[in-house]
Parts: sequence; structure tokens; C-alpha cells
Amino acid sequence: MPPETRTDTLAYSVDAARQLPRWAQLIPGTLLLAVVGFAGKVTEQSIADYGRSHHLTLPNIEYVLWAIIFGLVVSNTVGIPAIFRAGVDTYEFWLKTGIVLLGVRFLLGDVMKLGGVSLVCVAIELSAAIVLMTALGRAFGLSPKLISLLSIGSSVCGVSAIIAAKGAIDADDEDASYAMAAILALGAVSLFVFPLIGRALGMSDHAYGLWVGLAVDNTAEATAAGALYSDAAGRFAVLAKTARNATIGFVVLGYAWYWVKQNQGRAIGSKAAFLWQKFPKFVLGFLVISAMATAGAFTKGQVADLANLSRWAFLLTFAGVGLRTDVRELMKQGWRPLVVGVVGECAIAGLTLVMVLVAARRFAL
Amino acid sequence: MITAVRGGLVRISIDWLAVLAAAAAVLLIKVGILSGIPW
Repeated sequence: MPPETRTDTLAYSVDAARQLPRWAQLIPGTLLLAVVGFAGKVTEQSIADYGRSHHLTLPNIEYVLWAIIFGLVVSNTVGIPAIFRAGVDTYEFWLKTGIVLLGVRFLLGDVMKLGGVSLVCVAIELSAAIVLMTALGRAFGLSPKLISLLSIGSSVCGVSAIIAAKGAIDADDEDASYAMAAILALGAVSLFVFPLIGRALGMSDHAYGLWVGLAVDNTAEATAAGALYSDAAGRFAVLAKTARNATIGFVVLGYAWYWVKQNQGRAIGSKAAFLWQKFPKFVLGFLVISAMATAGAFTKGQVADLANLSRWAFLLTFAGVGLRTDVRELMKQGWRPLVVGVVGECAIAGLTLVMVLVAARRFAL
Repeated sequence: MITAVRGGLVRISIDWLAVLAAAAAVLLIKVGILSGIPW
């Protein structure tokens, strides 16, 4: 029977969507990502064109920020109807595809050079974040598993690490949502604050990208915070963040092992299999494309085509960052985990900033 | 992870799906089917 009222229409469209094959359910939300992201790109270009035609010097606000703002406005006013949700969730696929394709713009020598510096910084950042979050969590009386999740989220890679650790240490859904909300809220703030600090300190693209990759926890937000500064900074942010992501298996394994010893975690079989299971496989794709670019497998035109495809994939990602951020949900999570998150993340951001400034001077980044 | 499921279909993780999608894009660009992608 056809729908008669607005409520009927919504229910009808949701039911109709559920009857569609899985791939077809992804279409409306993916189109929404494309529309929101493209609106951001058009807005950036329109402002620049207006400034040029009226001989005005207007601030260049990148499409990245517009796409995120438009997404935030949609998700926090009209909300995301159910029919769009499956497609909006594909933002993670676009993020990872964009990162793999971005490999074409890195020669392996650059990856090794930045990778080497990054790995030392990552090791320091990992240890400091875990120690700091554990101390703060205990001081604020958070539950031990929530402390573990916040430590993993702030030391490695945000939401993915929390999801991976939740299963491994048998944490509650509520603790996982707390930890994810704190990480996402701080990631959203970093989009606005980090570029301002970078500009105030006159950081190079390389140094700023490394700092963002070390200090911003979620990969999507780190990519966006880097791209907001400059295209080159975005690439370095992705590389540093990818180096950090690669440690996810080791950190989650360490925590899983700790909780098994406390008789509160799931038993681990083969450690090698566990590490491989948690390893972010898209990193391998990034390295293969980077190796092909290093070997001269692509012409200049092909490099430009692959780099542009990567930008389109990121455009959908940035729209998704805004669309999936529910400010009301973040406010509902309570103040204590957020205070621990804010204090801990500010301290980590400060520490990594000093580390990067020293590394930038020492290695001329 | 790639997992075989009922009916012979294969369930594939987002990581591998991203790698496959990127590989397909590389192939299409290398053989010249996709070219001149604007930004």
C-alpha cells in the first residue's frame, strides 16, 4: 500500500530500503556524502572566485572544513534518516581507499625517512599516552577497563583501536561508547585548534603533518586536520598516522594479555595470528603503490589521476566526519571521561608538539 | 579478513576492500580506460 502521511512515508522508505540488496542500501548515503563534500568544494571555489572578481583578500577556507561543517549542520539539525545511514558509514572505506591511493605521491625513500623519525616519535608518544591516561583515569576514579580503552584510543588510533580492544579485553559497550565519544569530541576540536597553533608557530608542512599524525587520534580527523593546513601537510599527517596505526596489534595484544592475567579477558591463541588480525591491511596497499611509484611504474599523468582520485575519496570521508558527529550524543556521555580525555589529550598534544619541534630542528623537517 | 560465507559469497574486510578498489583504479588508469581525472 502506498504511504499517506509524512510518518508513513519515512517508515515506508526505511522498510523499502531494508528490502533492497546490501549494495543498493549504500547508494543514498554515499550520494549524501558526495553532495555534502561537493558542496564544500563548490563553497571554497565560490568564495575564492568572489574574492578575485571583487579584488578582495578573503581567507582561504579549505573545502575540508566546509564539508565537515555542512555535515555537522545536517546531522545535528535534521538528523540522518535511516535510509542514508548505511551509505554514510562507508566514509571509512573512502578514507582507507584514499590513503592507499595517496601512496602514489610518496617515494619509498620519503616513507623510510619520515617513517624512521615517526617510529621513534610514535614509540615515545605511545608510552607517554598510556602512562598519562592511566594516571589520570585512576585519579578521576574511572573504571579500569574504561581507563584501558582511553589509553588505547589516545595512544594508537582512536575509534578503530577502541573497537579492536573492546572485543579483546571484554569491555562493556558503555565504556567503549564513553571512550569513543571522548576521542571523537577531541578530534572535532582539533580540526579547528591545530591549524591555528601550526600557523601561529610558523610550522613547516612536514613538521605540522607529523605533529597532527602523532597527536590527533582518529585517522579521519588526523587526515582532515592535516589537509586543512595544506595539501602537503595532509600527506605527512596521513603517513605519520599510518605509522601509528601499524602498532595497533601490539598495543591491543599487550592489553588483552594484561586482562587475561586478571582473568577478565578473552584467551589469546597464536600471538602472530592476533597481530596479523589487528594489523591495518590497507597500509600494505599504500606501500605497494608507493613502491610502484618509486620504480617509475606511473607516468606523470597517471600520478596526477591517482592523486586526484585520492582527493575525491577524501572529499567523501570529510563529509562523513561531519555527518556522523552527533553533538547531543557527545554531551550525554558525562563529564568525567571527557575531563580525563581533554586533560590527557592536551598534555599529549603539548608533548608531541615539543618532540616534533625538536625533531624538525634536528632533522630539518 | 576474507571469510567464506553461506552460498559461496565472500565477506571481505573494509581494509582489503579498500586495497582492491585502489588496485582496480590503478589498473583502469594504467590501461587508459580512466584518464584526465579532474580536481
